[in-house]
Amino acid sequence: MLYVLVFSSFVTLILTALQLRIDYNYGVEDIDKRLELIQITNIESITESLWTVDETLMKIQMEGLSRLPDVIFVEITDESGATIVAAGNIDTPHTIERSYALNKVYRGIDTRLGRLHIVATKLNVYQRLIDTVLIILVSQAIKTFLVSMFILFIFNMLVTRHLSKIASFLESINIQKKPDHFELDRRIPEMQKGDELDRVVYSINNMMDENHRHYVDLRENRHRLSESESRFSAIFNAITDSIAVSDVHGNIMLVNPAFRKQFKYPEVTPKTLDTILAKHSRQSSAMDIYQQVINQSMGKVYESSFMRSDHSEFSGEMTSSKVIQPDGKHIAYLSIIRDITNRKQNEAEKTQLMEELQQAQKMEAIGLLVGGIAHDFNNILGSIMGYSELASELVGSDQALLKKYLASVMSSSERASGLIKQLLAFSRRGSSEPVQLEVDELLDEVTMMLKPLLPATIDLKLIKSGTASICFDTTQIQQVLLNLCLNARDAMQGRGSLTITVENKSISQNICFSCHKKISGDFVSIRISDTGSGITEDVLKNIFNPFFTTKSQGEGTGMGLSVVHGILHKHESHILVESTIGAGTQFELLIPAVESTIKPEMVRVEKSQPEVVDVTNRHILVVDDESMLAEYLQDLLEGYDYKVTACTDPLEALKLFQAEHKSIDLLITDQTMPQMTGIELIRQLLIYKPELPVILCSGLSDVVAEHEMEKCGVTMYLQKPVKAPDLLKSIAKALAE
Amino acid sequence: MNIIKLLVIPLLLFCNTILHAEHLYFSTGFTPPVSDYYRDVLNEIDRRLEDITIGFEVLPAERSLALVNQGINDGECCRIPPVVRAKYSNLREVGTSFFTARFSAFSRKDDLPISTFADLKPYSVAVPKGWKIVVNKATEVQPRELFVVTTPEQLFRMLDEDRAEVGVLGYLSGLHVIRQLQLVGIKAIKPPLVSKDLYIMLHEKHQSLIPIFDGVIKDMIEDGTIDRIYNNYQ
Repeated sequence: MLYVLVFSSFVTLILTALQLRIDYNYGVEDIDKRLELIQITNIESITESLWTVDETLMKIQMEGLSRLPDVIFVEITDESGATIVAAGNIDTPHTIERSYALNKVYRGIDTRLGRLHIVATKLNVYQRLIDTVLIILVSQAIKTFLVSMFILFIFNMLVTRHLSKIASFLESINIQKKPDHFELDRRIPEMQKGDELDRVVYSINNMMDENHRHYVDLRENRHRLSESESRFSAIFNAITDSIAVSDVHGNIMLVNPAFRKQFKYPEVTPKTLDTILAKHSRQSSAMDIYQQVINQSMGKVYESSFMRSDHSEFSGEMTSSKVIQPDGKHIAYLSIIRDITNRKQNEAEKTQLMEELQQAQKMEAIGLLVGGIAHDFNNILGSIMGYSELASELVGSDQALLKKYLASVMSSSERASGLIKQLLAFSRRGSSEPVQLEVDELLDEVTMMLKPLLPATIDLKLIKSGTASICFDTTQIQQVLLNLCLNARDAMQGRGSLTITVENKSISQNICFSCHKKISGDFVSIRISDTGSGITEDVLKNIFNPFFTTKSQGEGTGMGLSVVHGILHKHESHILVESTIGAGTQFELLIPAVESTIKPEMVRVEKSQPEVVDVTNRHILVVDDESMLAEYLQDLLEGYDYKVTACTDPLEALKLFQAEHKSIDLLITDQTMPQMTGIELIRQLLIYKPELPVILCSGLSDVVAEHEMEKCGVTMYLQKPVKAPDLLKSIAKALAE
Repeated sequence: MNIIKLLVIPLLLFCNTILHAEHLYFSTGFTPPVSDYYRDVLNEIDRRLEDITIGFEVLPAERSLALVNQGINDGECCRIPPVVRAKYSNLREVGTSFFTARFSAFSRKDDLPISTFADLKPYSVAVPKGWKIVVNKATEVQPRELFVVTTPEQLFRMLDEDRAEVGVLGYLSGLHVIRQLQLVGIKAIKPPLVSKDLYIMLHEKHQSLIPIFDGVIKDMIEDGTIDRIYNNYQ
């Protein structure tokens, strides 16, 4: 109601103002027209009066004009502006003034005689406006009131009461409940149905249904969102990498618990990433780093030192990415920082392990190479030495020079055989006979052997402490110790101190200097320390390589430490080396300590002079893939009246044996052959003749375990190169059994 | 060829005269017969001055002065210089007067002892509207009865009807109206109430012409031309 009144009043005022404005304009226009009319009707007569200077007439004319409506003052002035005649008074500020020239054409000249000034007042206009305003306002006020009351009544009947009901209904809505159907109390003809109120009611009912449906959806979505947020929060909190979310200016907004833990910010959050980047490790701001990391690619990482709140630093890698909204707006940066301290340590260890592995593989490869060469070379030496022996037996007493030459061949062959033994020892393929040894006693023997070899200027010390036993080949441990002690002697150049220290030692973790494998456990430690010149680092890396020597040509073979390496590792032992230039070198042998007695692995071949036995009708099958060796053995044995069948192919030998096994009394076979090993051949042949004596020869490159030989029926085992007496003796013994 | 010369040369001389002749336009606030007298005198001056031609017109008195003062007209004929110069400062008088204005009292009665305006006091007096000096003087005197009539003719009819004893008007104008109305018995009382010499007033831009006009007027006075013209209006 109030609004209707206000609006009506406002409209009334506006219209009244408009009407007043129009009335005002009309009033002013009337005055203007009246003044123009004066100009049209009176100027000529006034000009004539002025021309004749008829002041009386002019005065009459002015009096007449001054009585016109709204005109309050008229005046005639001469050409200089002086008043000639005037009538009326100017006593109001609201005036309209006009001034008309009073000219007369005289002798063709427009002669100015004077001016007529007329002043009209607008007070009458104003008064009329005031009267109009009063009438309009009063009438409009009454009309507005009555019309408003009527409209209010009609509006209330048609609209307001329905709106009140709608409002009451809407106020009573509980969105959590399914709404009731809403209707208005209206009795309207059928034709009027579907008006705005009906549409409102229809819309309200629809809206309520929609709202309830949306509410249900919203509730479910909120539940899902809450679960999603919980999951996200759990994931975010569970991520072990540090995560920081910063705004586009680099200000950190959010961090995960891993970040707080990693950077030691339990409560407060660092303001910017600049705070956590170690200053010395970067040349640009965090924002620049962001851009660099992001511009390169998502996979690029930024490695740097990061700083915790306590100013401690750690190595980390950071990946950053832009957080982009679906509308494409860049709202934040996501930075993931990972502590790579352990990884870097692991990488360093891995690198070291790789180097050690490479070194071990190198040593293994050299061992295989040396072993392979030694095997073949051993076969060759076997035939050289055998034939040399056969030749020596054929040489008469008058051929002394030839005998001497053959003796030289034999001597050189034996030296070569010795070298091959060293190579095989390095490659761990030489034969050994480990026995339980008391280390203290062993060292006493070694020092006794050493003393004659050391000059008096070298002080030899032996420090013992009641150590445990070891299981080692006696000869080979002596060889190892002598090699090391003689190297120490040479390093001291005739003056110094050589100390041998033995003790029990428990090693938790260490690396073997030669094989580069991890070692741990209980060992007997034998340290050989000298006060020599020491070994440079470059030399130290290669000391266990075969044929590596720093000695002059002819002074050393370069196999000493290689043999040490091979012997030690064949006995599951290791070695540590420490050297200081100018101070000396220490080799420490770590030999597994044992408590029980260990049986020797290999069957010893008893060495004795060749024994001549009755070989009549004795048939020996010789099998060796080396044709020279096979032929040599055939020649050798036939020379001793044996019937010999030599084969270079084990399959061929198998066929032959299948056909003639009853006539064959002995089998001599090589172990390593391409088509079939000696052991496999033995197994096949013994099927046909189980009582067949068997001698297995091996080039020491492929040693067969004793128990396996026994299981397979091997009667005797000979190591290549086999000397003729040893072979003949073994044949006689095997046949005798 | 000779005929052409005979026609062209006089034409050129005429045009030369026309081109060098200065045309002056005079006006006067007087009415006939005075204005007619002025026209005759000015025509004679025009005739005597070869380089000057003169036009003449009768105008309302004040308008006549104003137009000369504005420079629209060239001369006013004729005024009392001290009176008009106070209001119209651009006017310059020619030094020699050829007309003396006289305000005379007219009456049907003989031998009225009237020689000044003060002598009008005991009489019934009629004065014409527009004659300011007369009206003002009569008003000052406050005669027994004063009539300000619209026209001189009205004044003399009142005298003739004995509705007024004395009428005051210019001497020549009074005589002129008496003749026009063919009135008998009305005469001018001597001596006149006031006599004043009037002078031609030129706009100051024609100051150089004042001696010329002065000279020719003197010549006309000396040779009796002025008197001869004046007598035509007595």
